Amino acid sequence: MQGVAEIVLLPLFGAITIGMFKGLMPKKLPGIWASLLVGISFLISIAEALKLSRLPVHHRFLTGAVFPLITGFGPAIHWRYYLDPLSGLWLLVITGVGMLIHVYSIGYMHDDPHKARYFSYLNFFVFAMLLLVLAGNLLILLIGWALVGLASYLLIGFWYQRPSAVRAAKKAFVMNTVGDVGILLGLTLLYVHYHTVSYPGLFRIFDHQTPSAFFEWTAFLLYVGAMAKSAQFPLHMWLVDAMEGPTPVSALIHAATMVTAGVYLMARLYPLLRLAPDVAYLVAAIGAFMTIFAASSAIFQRDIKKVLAFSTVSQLGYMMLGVGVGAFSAGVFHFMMHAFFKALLFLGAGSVIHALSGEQDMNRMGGLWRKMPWTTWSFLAATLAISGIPPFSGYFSKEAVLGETYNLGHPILWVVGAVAAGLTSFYMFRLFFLTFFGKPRDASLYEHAHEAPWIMTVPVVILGVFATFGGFLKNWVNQWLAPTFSLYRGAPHAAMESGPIWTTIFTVGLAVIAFFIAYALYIRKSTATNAASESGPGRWMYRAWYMDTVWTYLAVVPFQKIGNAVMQAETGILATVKGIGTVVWDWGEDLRPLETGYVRRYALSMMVGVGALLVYYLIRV
Amino acid sequence: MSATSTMLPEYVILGTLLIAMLGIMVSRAHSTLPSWIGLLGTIGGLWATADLWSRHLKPVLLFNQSLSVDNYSLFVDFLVMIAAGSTILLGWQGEREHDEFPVLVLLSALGMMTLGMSANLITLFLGVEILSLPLYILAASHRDPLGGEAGLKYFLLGAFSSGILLFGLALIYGATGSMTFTDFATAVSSNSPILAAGLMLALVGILFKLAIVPFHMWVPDVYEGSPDAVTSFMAFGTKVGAAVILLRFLAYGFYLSPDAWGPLLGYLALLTMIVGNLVALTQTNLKRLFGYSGIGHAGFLLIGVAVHSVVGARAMLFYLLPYGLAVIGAFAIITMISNGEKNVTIHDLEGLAHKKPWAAALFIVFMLSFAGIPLTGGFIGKFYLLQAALFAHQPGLAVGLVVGTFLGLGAYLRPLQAMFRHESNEQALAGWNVNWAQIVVLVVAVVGTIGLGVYPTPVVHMVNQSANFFWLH
Repeated sequence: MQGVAEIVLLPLFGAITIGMFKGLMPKKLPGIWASLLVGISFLISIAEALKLSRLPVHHRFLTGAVFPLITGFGPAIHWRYYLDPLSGLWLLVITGVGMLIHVYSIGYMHDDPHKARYFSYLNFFVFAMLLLVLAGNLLILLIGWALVGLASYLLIGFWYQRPSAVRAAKKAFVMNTVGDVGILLGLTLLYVHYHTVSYPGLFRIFDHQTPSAFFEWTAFLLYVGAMAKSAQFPLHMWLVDAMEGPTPVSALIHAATMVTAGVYLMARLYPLLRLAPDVAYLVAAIGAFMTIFAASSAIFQRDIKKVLAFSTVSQLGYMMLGVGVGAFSAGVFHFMMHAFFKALLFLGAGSVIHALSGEQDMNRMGGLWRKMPWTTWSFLAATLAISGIPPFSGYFSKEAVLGETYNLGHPILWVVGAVAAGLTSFYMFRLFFLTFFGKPRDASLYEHAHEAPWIMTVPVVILGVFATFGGFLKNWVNQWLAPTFSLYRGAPHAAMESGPIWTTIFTVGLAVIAFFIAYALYIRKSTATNAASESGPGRWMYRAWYMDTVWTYLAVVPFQKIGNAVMQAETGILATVKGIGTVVWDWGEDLRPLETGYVRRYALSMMVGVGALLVYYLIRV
Repeated sequence: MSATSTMLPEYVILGTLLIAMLGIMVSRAHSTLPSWIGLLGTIGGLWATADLWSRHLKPVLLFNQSLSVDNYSLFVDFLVMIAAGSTILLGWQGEREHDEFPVLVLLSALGMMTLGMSANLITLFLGVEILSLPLYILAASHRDPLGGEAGLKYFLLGAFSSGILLFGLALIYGATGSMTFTDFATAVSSNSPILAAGLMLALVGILFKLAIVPFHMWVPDVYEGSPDAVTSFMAFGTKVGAAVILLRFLAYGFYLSPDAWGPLLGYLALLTMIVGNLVALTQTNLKRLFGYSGIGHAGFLLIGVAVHSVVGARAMLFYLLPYGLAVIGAFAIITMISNGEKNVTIHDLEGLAHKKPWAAALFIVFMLSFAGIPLTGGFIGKFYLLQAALFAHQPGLAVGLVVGTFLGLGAYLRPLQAMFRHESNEQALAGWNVNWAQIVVLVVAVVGTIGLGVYPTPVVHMVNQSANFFWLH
């Protein structure tokens, strides 16, 4: 029990100490300190996971109240933690990959004058995510959820001198807030009905229920939250812009934390999804749609980070697809593999950007493999993994998701996912070839390019090892997660099974063909980076199906108008209030008996107090 | 046992008061005779209280259940006697304080003692008014503009709060049909809106006297304008009276519905602890500083009430003593520096540690007790309060207490810093003046402060006995 609290609190401690004493700390200390704390968190997580594995299968969870958040002041709210194999897996990934990203950041942010602030935020981000994952009830989860949103806002807008960064941060925050509201409404519905928001309490009740509209609505509202965090249509736009933050932040957001929170929530709520089959299908369908939508949007991007951002959206689609069709272990397994190779891809891209002094346009890269061997070969491993080429990690997880999608009777979703897998292979190898192979397209940048310092390459290489061999963890993950998904009803097909052999051959075949097409186009023919991006479909895909524009017209503009109207109404109300205030003030002036006196103000303070107390009692009685 | 003998301390004070008035008539102006009479009276009151205490009396209800004499009220009598006696000593110099000074102090003390015994609404209101009216006069007893301002402000706002209090009491009476505290809980269901409104307004009236945020605004101005001795009496005695009546009022009358007021007082305690200590940080005038720190301490005291447990009641009662001792000690030093002439600021303390090391050492002791440093009574008191908050599962209050303490520490360190400064200004310590009365107060205060910090057991024992009232509804 103690250990769990420390896992969460150590990063918070780091964030606070760095925030408070950054003026006193030597320049290098914040990075080391932050990495160290997350590292200790990681070690404790391993210890807790081992402790968990020794528990009997039918009772494999640790729970308890760490701290009564609020008692006596209204209804009691406990910070209740809940550690089971599912949250344990997340815990290991968040702290493990998070630690590698911290270490990498020491090198990446070496010259930034505000790196203490950066590490303080980064630690805070990890803390928020851990709080979310270890929450024992939906309320604490929501607190973590909101804090993650706040942390992402701070980090995306870290370079607040850039207007685009501020805009992206704002966008992320607004879209995430929509999701927060969804969760809040969903948990309120559940609380009003069942007077509890704790997982075991709710799930035990769910075991005796049959599907109904109530559950559909609750599940949908909670899914809205997951939508926002996991960048599912229509709340996906923020993620692509979110790469305005420093690149390691993108790695953290895209791989280890934040965007997988939605996947976590949906997997965690599997007993609820049983009661809401329509929402479950919606989750799967939107997931499948995201795979192909994002993959097609990635094809014509020129910014290296944008390609990776779209690939995250696409991969999240796979995870959601797995969770939606009921292949929970497969979805979670894909999350884990994705954490490895996506963190690697972003960190590798960060090394490239670092080497090219901030250049992100692939048009000015090329041929970097000679200069940056470690990065190149690690990056290749991740590219193979994300493309689903056996025996790299992504192959196993993607096959598990797609195979079960087919097995459970969703052939259309399977086709969409399989085609998207082919596209993935194409755009990822396009990126890889354009960046590391071919002729250098910008000689001066190429001249100054250099391999990243060891503190950046070591995390990259470690992740490379996992991205290559992670797939062999499949059986272990299967066994590890089984107790979670057998505790309550709703996950009969949670364990990973592979589909018919021809589906695998089809998917892998597509990926291999796509690889050769990319090879032919970008190595043999040295096609330009922006080829065909001016054609109709090209432009359509480049602009991500114009969804941002649609959003602007459908949501932003009307809201702006509403906002302006409200603003005017508010001005009117304010003027009225001010008028009343002036009258009261004039009475107060008459009360003033002394030259220096503020007696009226004191009396006013008392009356405000009386009013506040009265309101308090009126609410209670 | 008759009413006369169980209320002996009150009768002693009342008699002293009348004799002192006669003394004013027969003696010439600026005589110390009334002060002597008053001092002897408080000593007599102390003796009477100790005598009653030693007899282990059963609680007695007097005057048609309007007064309750028990260990609780006797403990209050102790505290009030210390406050009144030290105030008379601090205001000893007959030339500066008016002749009626001891009389008014004793009258106000009588109000506080009434509050300690009060068991119904009539005596509650009477106690509050007997406490307040002499203080209005005392606050204005210096004929400088600040004194007049202090008196008038105190009077206006006090009248305002009395009105609110009275309105609340009337509503409570209207809702329950009874004046006696113990009848409220059973009279009607506790969520009657009239009763709730009455409780709320009555609480405001009492919290005003206790100086709880947001009913605290009068404190710094009044403290600043009043004579030093009167300020110390307000800081100690008024807080005692208000805190004890609040505790008994709620514990007798509303013990069945702690949810109706416990959380509210918790929030106010939190607010008061933070605001009082925070604002204290920025003060340079020492009396204003103690005013704000007194607000912060009122917040600490309120924890003991808010948790609604016997542990909380004990902690609160205990805390009154170290707080009061530190107040009278600190004000003894202030009167030495100010000599009744000026308002002492932090700059007037400069160089104190080098010129008057003993006074400086004592001042440090009192400041550390305020701040709650171990080996002083303040530490033990804060520790009990913290314990009470934690036992009641209210970590929010515990955290607030710790935060408030840290803020307060900052506030108390500033005068200490000034004391150790080498370069002092010319005016500092120009009016230094010591008389025996101040030394008596200082000795009592410092022995009490250190004694409570090192060996609190006897007082804890007393407090435990006096908090037994908690179970006697």
